[in-house]
Amino acid sequence: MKHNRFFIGDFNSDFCQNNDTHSGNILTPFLKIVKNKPKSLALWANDLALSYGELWAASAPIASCLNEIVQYQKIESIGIIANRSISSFVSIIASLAAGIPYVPIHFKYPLKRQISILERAECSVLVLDETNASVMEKLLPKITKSVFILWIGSENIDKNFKIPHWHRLVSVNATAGGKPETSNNRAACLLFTSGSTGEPKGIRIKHSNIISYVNSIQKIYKPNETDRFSQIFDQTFDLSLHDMFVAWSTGASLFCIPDNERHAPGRFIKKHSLTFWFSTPSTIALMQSAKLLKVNSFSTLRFSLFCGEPLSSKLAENWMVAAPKSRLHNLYGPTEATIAITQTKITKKLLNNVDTTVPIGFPLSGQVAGLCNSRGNFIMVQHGSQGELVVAGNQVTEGYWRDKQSTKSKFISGPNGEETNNTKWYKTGDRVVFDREYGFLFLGRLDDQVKIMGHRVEISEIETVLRKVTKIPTVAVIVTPQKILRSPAIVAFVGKSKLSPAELKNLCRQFLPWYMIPQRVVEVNEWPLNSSNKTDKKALFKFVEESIG
Amino acid sequence: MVTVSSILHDVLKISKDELSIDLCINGVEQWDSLAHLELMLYLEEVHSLVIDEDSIIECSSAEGLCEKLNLPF
Repeated sequence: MKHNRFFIGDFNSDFCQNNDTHSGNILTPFLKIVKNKPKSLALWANDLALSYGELWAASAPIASCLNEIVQYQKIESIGIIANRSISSFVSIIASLAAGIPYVPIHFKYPLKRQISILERAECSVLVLDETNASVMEKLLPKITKSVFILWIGSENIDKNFKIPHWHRLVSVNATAGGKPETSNNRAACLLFTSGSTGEPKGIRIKHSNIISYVNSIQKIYKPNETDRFSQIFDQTFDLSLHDMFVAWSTGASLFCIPDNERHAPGRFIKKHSLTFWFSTPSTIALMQSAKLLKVNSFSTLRFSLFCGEPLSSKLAENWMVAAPKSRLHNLYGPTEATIAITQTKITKKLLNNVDTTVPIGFPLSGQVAGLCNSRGNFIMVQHGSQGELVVAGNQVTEGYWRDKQSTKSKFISGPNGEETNNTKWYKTGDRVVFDREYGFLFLGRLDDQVKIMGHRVEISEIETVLRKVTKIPTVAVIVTPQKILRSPAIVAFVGKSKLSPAELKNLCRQFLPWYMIPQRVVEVNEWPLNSSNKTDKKALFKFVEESIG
Repeated sequence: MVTVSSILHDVLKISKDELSIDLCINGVEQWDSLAHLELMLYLEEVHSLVIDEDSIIECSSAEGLCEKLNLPF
């Protein structure tokens, strides 16, 4: 691992975003397996098993249909309103094969959020089948711009299904073949995360960003075609890209854990003899709390990877006991840097030497990481240095979708006089300290972003929605630490309002996904202010601790 | 009389308007995976439920709870 004055990582000439050596289409290795080993198992989901050949056979006609549409109309992106269903996997492959970015939208998101994402992403094609028909029926009349509705269902579309006249229905011809696009500069997907302005913000991930990540991961973990990967992440979450494309670039099988077993996946791991595990620490923390991490419970696991949240040393230790043949790794990365950009191997020695949290380690191959001080200037990276983590490399995306202002503030130029000047560094907002032996260690956030069961949540987005629905300015949201309520719980405070807490929560449900709805709403008669005349959040925490906790 | 509705209301604070036999984990924000754990620990203590992989999954819906606890909705 190279160590420059201002950054850690393998600096090389191909690392800037504008110089893609990892060109091509992320599906290229998948298509080689389709050709050479079509009968190998690619996907197990909803009690159905699909070989590589079958998965491609289901996707290719959709890709072909998309290729036809783009002959006479520009398609910015394809909206996939689903989550972890066979048809959503098929639609993703088809979009990528056609070289058109997909936009995953959870079918459980509120209608207003779905519309907001579709409009902001400029989706001009939506995929429809039997599994999302009920959601689409409510959504389509609300989309004012004409879009193509691609019917990919196994039967003919239900005659009673009403498609507003301004949209165009296209039925996919199941016999058509797909011809993958190989352009490297097109985006693979456009993912939306919580945004502080009250609207979700889009991050465009290119094929080359994912290829670079997958190449690094393959070098480190050396997965092979006999491996059986877990699939537990929602497709709206960039970590789902790891599941699909590390497995399918290797010729391995992907096992989609059913929704009703995601909170207790141990039985599934054993039943399907999984060898690669990838989840947030929250998932295994639940298993630990339910006393399910028993000795040698998961003997088939070769690798266990964790990402999305800080991983406690104790939890890692307990997982080692439950999966004794498994090598543990902790990964870290914001969506802006594609899945994960640093990683560390977790050993017993490491756990003995670190405090309560596992370090996030060193950058992946071809990526670099540095530190900025509170003024946004690069500082020397040396043992004990603390600052905001900044990252660069060919995994780092180009900025926020149609949001120059946020892009400008978060994607900055490199340190003066260094070789990296021609690329952009992403300011993660994470405060870290550098350790020469273990790499970076996460200390906390510099803003009010929190993680709720791995979901990235901007507290200010909830506050903006509360202001909108209550029409009063005095609102505040806090997320309680574990010791106060069952963690993490969102508590909303509002000034005197005509709405009851239940009515307020119902209004929030129109705009926010389930994991951002406050569990408790407290009406405050005398709004607490600090010496700067701003909301005194310390007082609100104290209130929760004393009155609810 | 103890019913599955009363357990869901008391332990998970699901309002009476929201209670239905079709409820399941992640169907309402009060019943997420963390809350489910809280529910399981309550059932272990009060209803002597043995917590294991099977019971955690079987108790993931109102209907499943009725069956597992042998209680009306």
